[in-house]
Amino acid sequence: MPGVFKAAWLMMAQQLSVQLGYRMAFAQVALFEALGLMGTLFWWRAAAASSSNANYSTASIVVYFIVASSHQILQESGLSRSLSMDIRTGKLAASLIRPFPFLVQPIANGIAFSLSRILMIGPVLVAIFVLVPALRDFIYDVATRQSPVIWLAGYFAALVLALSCNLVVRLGLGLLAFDMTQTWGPELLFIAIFFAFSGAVYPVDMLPPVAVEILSWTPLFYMQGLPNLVAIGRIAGDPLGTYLLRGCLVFALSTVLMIAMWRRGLRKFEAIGI
Amino acid sequence: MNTQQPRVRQRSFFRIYSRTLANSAGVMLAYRANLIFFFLFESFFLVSSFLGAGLGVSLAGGTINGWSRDQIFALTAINGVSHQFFVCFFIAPLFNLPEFVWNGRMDYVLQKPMHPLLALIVTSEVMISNLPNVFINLGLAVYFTLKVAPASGAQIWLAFGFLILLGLAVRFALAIFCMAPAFFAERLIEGEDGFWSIVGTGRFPTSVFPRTIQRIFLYVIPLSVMAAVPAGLLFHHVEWQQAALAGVSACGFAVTSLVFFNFALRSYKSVNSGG
Repeated sequence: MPGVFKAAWLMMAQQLSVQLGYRMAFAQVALFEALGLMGTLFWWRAAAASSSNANYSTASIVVYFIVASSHQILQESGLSRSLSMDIRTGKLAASLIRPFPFLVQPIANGIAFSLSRILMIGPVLVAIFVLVPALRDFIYDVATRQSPVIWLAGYFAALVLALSCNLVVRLGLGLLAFDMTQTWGPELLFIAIFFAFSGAVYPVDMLPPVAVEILSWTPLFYMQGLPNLVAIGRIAGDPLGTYLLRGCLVFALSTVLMIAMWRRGLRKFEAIGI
Repeated sequence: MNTQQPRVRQRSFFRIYSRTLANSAGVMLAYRANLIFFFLFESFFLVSSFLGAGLGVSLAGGTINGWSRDQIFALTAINGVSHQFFVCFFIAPLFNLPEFVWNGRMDYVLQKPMHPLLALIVTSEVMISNLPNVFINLGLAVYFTLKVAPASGAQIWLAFGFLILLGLAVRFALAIFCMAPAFFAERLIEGEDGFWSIVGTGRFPTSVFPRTIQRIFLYVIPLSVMAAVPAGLLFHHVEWQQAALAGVSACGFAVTSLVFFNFALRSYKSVNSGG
């Protein structure tokens, strides 16, 4: 087993250097994400500024979308597409004979991708929250409302759960290649459902409570909604504990489903691909 | 001789384009699952656009900067029509451009007896899978627009229609600015992501932006002409003069994009443009 971890570590390091090697593509991604975020931020800022509703202040809505956008950047790894290609083209055959589980490789890639993106957007986020007084004060208020350590621990747990759910869902989408010629159709469909219901384009707790309850039994809520709401202090304490437990259950069920798809797919797989 | 050549080109353009349409329809209908997936994909995006717009207005208490909920819905649907039309007819020729540059297929495009942009259009797929969503968005746009548009003269409606067309030209021009850098360097591959990031800005009322950004979106990079300016003119949120100036700037933006395309094309070196 230690050999598996060593191999995974090497792959992760290699993937990290590949990600950081294309600095120009990185700069483009950062610029474009910022441009995309701008319209959303100003729209919701105008909505909160016109509001007499105390639920969402202007600062809270702006912070919500900054963290939502950051979480999205961490999750867009292209993992499902590369796994799908490996299956369709038969590249999987070469990887299967290595002395460690094949899925270690895409998982290491996914983690390396997220780490590289944290390195890219982390300093930008720190600069935003340090240099904009309204946002700095808001975050300070959220952190001190409970205890900075508890808030950070809760946020870290929600973020790890989000990245884990994302990894399993993306792998599951890629594994559809065992049964389909083109997996981009289901992937596009998933992206659209993700945007509609995860909390990526509006604060998910603005939906009716019944809808939030239903969504909390799907990975979507944990991929965006939960970490965003924990970051702005709208979910804390006991409700956070309940959601984290439920999220772990959803993650475990998704993992079981993904492993079942993997094992079923391997039985159909032939060396030249599907 | 010279006077007849453009007619020949135009005729061959329409002939080839009608074949492309038929071919695209055949391909799309052969992969019926694609039609269903694209329909569902675009429908869920429509849902998320309306949810985002509607929840924003709810948070604001019914109006945002003078725009009512129904006006915002009309704006969202008008943007949707323009977006879906663009996806149907122009996304494949422009977004396949980097691939054409990498694998040298651009060589064949350049040999066609017409401008390379037209040749790209005739040699690329038409996304007929998005046609249902053109009509869904059109239905929503007509419903909300007629519901909330104040009584206006024919000239307002004409200007509205003209601005919608200009908005489509801006969308096309923006795609050229995002994709044509592929002629300069192969690694400038994020143009498509850039387009999607930037183009969404056009679906918001111009007044939600700070004054400087408003001016940029009206007169420099006229993204607001894609939907916010025509809808704003119809709902009396945008002045005539402002709309006219934005329209002129949209024309300038479109022409500049064509000049940029021709300039970038000079860097094409066949198969591998380096970089």
